[in-house]
Amino acid sequence: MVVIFHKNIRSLIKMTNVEKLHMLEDMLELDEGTLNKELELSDLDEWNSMARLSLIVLMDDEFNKKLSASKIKEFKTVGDILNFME
Amino acid sequence: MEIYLVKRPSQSYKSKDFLNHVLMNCYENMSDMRIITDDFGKPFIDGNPLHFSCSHSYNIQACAIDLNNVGLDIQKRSKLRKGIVEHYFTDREKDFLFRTQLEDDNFSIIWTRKEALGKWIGCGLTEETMAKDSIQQSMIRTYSFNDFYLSFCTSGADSIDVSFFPTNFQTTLKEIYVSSL
Repeated sequence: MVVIFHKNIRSLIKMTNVEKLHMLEDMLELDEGTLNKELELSDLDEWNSMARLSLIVLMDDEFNKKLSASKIKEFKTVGDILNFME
Repeated sequence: MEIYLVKRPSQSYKSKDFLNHVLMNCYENMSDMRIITDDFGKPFIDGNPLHFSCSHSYNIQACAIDLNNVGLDIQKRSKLRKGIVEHYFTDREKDFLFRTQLEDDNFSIIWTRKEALGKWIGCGLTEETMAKDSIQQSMIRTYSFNDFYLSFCTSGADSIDVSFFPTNFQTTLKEIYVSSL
């Protein structure tokens, strides 16, 4: 039997939006339930340069996805980030 | 160099409001100023030799103004982000980070130094600027007050003059000396 190990197992598992929101809340050091899809990132004090860089690292490490600075600028709401996590 | 520290009156008080407040209230003949950005997005005042750099974290906004190029960053103490450390911190920075048990404080210190350096260079935080070591940079100075860390990078300032707004917001900045072992 051949077993293939993937670098990021999470990228193979379909996550729910709630799980993704919890992951973002953890990354932003926010209480659970703080974020929702409609929330504008510009209204979030915690959405700063450190958060943006943390998101780049999170996408790389956990989702095996490359996220560019220009792509981040296109994110307007939390929902936009969730969609990128698909 | 002049540094302005402002306790933000409300969440709707944005960085642009702050900059206008600082420039128009502290400098005469600034009423017709025009702030534009260069190719990398770094803002400057059109036709004026003053350099400035602004940053905010939570309810505190900071702005440095000088005749020399300057980059400034402010950050409320943040929890250490392992991913950022692993991806972007140099060996010297990791050495500084784990030298004491104050890892969150040390992380925030290095973060502000990296960001101040990136702003001084002019392109902000990029893969290239994040890879630069911020420890052995004599142009960067770091201060702490309350739960905040503030770093600025400049090639010229020997002394700094700090102003607080509103006037009932007063605190003491303590310089932090950062060096490798």
